[in-house]
Amino acid sequence: MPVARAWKIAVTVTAMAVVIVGVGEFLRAGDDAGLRRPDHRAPAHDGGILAVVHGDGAMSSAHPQGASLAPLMQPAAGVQQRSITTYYDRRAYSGAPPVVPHPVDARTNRTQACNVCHEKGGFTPKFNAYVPVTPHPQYRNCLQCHALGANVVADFVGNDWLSVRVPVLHRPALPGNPPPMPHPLRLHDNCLACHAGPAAVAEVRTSHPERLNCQQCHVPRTTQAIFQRGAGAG
Amino acid sequence: MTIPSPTAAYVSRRDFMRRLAHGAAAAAAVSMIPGVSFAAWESLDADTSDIAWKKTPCRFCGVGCGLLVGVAEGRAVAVKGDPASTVNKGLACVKGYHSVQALYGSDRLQKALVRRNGQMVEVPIQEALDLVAAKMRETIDTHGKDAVSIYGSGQWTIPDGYVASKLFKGAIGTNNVEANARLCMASAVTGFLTSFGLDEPMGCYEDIDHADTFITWGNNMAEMHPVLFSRVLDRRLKNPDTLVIDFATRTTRTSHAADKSILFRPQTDLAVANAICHEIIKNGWMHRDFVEQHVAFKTGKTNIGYGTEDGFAFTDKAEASTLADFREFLKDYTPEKVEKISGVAAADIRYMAALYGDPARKVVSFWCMGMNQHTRGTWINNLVYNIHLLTGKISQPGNSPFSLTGQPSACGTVREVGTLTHKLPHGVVMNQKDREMAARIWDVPVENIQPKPTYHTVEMFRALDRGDIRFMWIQVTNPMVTMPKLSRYRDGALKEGRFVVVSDVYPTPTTDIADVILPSAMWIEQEGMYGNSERRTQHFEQILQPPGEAMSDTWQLIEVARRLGFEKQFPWSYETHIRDIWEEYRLFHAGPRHEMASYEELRRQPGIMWPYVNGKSTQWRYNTEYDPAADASHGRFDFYGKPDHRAWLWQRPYEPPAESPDVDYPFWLDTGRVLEHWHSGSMTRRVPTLHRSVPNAYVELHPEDARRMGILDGETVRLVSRRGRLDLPAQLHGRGQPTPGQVFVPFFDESLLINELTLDAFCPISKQPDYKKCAVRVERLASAESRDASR
Repeated sequence: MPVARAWKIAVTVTAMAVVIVGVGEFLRAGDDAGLRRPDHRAPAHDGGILAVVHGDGAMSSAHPQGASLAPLMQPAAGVQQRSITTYYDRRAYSGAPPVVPHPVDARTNRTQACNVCHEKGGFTPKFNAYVPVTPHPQYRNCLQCHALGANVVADFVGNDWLSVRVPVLHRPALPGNPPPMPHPLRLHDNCLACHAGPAAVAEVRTSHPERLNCQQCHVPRTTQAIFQRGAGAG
Repeated sequence: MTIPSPTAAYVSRRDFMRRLAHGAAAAAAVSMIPGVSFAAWESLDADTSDIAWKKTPCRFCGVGCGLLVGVAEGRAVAVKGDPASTVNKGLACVKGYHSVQALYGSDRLQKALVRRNGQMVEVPIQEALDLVAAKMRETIDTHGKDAVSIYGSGQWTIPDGYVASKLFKGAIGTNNVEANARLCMASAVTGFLTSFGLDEPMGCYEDIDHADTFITWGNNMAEMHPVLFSRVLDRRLKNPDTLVIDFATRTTRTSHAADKSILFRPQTDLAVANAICHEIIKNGWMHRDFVEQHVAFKTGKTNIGYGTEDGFAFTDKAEASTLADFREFLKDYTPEKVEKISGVAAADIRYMAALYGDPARKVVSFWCMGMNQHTRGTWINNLVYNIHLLTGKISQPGNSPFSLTGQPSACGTVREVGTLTHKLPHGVVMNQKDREMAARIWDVPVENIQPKPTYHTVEMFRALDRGDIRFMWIQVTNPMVTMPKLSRYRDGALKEGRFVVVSDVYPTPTTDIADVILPSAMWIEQEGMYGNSERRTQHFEQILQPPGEAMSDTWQLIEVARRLGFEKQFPWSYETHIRDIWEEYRLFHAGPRHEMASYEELRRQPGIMWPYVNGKSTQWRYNTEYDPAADASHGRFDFYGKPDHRAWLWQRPYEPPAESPDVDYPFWLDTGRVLEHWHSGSMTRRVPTLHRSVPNAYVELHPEDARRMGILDGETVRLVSRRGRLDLPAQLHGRGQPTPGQVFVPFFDESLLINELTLDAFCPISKQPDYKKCAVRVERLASAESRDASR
């Protein structure tokens, strides 16, 4: 049993390595947007976003001020991208877990090995797209929250669902100020997972992914109420 | 908050849309992101910062997750997990996240309907309630009190079940009160009662955070109790020594997430549990002090039957036994012998025994329908307790045999209020003292409360078929999807001279057979309480207006009770009736064994676990360190549910199921749920996200069987049992995989009713049917049709 398992792991690891190198080669071949080949030997940062490494081996995040990572993290031309519309089309309301928009094969349906792709992200030739990176890879019962959404079927009966307007983006208190976060942080506390990299929704992709301490400038907006003396906790 | 009256005007979606148009808000909704429009939902005028968040337990399963429902403009618009709830700590599952959409299916029942000349006609709800009361009175006068009945569910709120029991058992004077929890929890109840003398788990969900070994017994937790399963996986992430063992008849997501999957042949869990005990004793892993001080050995009757015949009766009898006797009994259950019966390798049996037996390991056993829907359901519950009792791994943080539940208030309403034929809110109808207590609190003559139970669920529907019952009121459940051997009970309900009232929120196959349909308020459209699997009672306030004339089941029952002349017993005002009912109900449970929190406390906290004594929830019962009712004169533990203050360890043998595959019907049929759909699907199928994920039922086949028979993935095949047939698509590469020789069908689909095929055999002690085992054959449709044609 352990031998078989070791073999399985070895085969899987080898296959993954081949895929990663292959993707790197593919990206380099189509490299007209300045993308460099990811180095799979470099340790990935939590969430995988900062795994993008320069050709000389230096991590971009360690670069001196002024050298932004953003240009490196743009999607290549011709690759399918998510927009804010597709983002909301996959959700029942702002904050709902999105459905899985692509077909899920039997193996993944059973093993829920979604993190193989969604923990680190990267390019997937299968869908000609960048894989969205999960902000919560520590949860492994993925399909607990993410329903299968690739089926095209008529509703059982209609539903009169309405929800509120989606948050307004980029609305700072003063011109030029950092905008507050319009959503709660639970299950979404890894900002870079969704806001940086080529898989990010274009409308919410940060221009400065190298600045890692996001909450230094961006704070959650939890209430519309303004401070009043003696108003109490309620 | 002001409590709206039950008939307050409902603001329809159309009104909202009109308002939206007037305010030109619809245009504004898409202009917030310039140049972008989206189609996932239509927007209200409000935005995310206008949402008010209200706490409630989830509407669906028995885990009882705390949710925060976002409300704007009088509508539920979003959901988040409640971080303040210790149950789910802020997480939910896809059903919970989309639960509020189940309120807005476009065919919500908003008006009462009455059958006139075969047609359902809308009438004002007060008129329908008049008819219900008149029909009840007429049936009682003509056929006697035991000709009227009520059939509710584990989705009844606690006040719903309480007023139902008070009306039928106390005021009218019949024990014809049952609930669908008989079909899902009864074996767990009788398991607890026979082993410990008191119902419901000794431990709690926090056991997960202390344990390092989890064994799931026929329990696909990854799909059925996903939030708790995620908590198990989280425990493993934090403590890498943790092991998860999936012991099951079918390979599922749980098997794949587990460290080891062990498959057994249906029904043979009985033999394997005994083999584990055999190994524990043989290897000296028994906790001798615990057993000597806290355990009594018992034997019961054997060869106890299956209840497939009308009027079947069985009463078990406990006889004193000894450890030596038990050892002798276990000689038939060596791992090698059991390997032959169960198909489980002797080495795997020894492995499981070693995990339970290792004094350094803390073990939680989880189970749900696999053990409860079992013709020996009470026995297998006893047998898993035996393992925990032999090793002393019980009633302590991390050592816990844990019976999970499937409905939001199976525990709170059916088990604690006692909406079963033999039960009272405290004790049983057979006990004079319990009847006297109920009569005193209910303000009825004690002679009103009948000392003999009448019909358990299957027998109640048989009585309706026979004509012994003439009137049935069904609330919050869908028996015309969920009864086993369905066609008999549907035909019975449709017979001349039967009158069926159904209270529900959507049209279902059960409302199809109704003479009166009453539109019900759903979940947070009323105030109420649910009780979850870990003895936690959770209050929810009325957050939304019910649509049209929809009314809570509690209030429907009160309206009818008053029409029957029981104003004195049902005096409450609408504004305070939930508080008043709770405070009256709480009298039944006074005392340290089951003390319930006050109404005010329940409103304040995200759930309270009984017994709630001196402002403290009890996490581990029978343990003198935690349980205020446990008396230290009996040692560290006090199993006070039994007169001898000991837990009872029962000798229960392996006995075969009621029906097994044979030449004509060579496959096992197993039925169950899928993650996305809950119960009979009447709510979850109306949620677009959930419906699209699993739009219809199917039959899972092992690919080897399919190859042998030439069946392709997606091909429509015919399943045939001795009771019925069903054509449905084959699924060879889905989320679960049955063993060769077995098929699995989910039961949520009202157009593909698998219960036409299932058998109404039940556990003779719990009377709970076995939906997991009967014999079927699988036919390719082409060959089946040509054979039919040649007949």
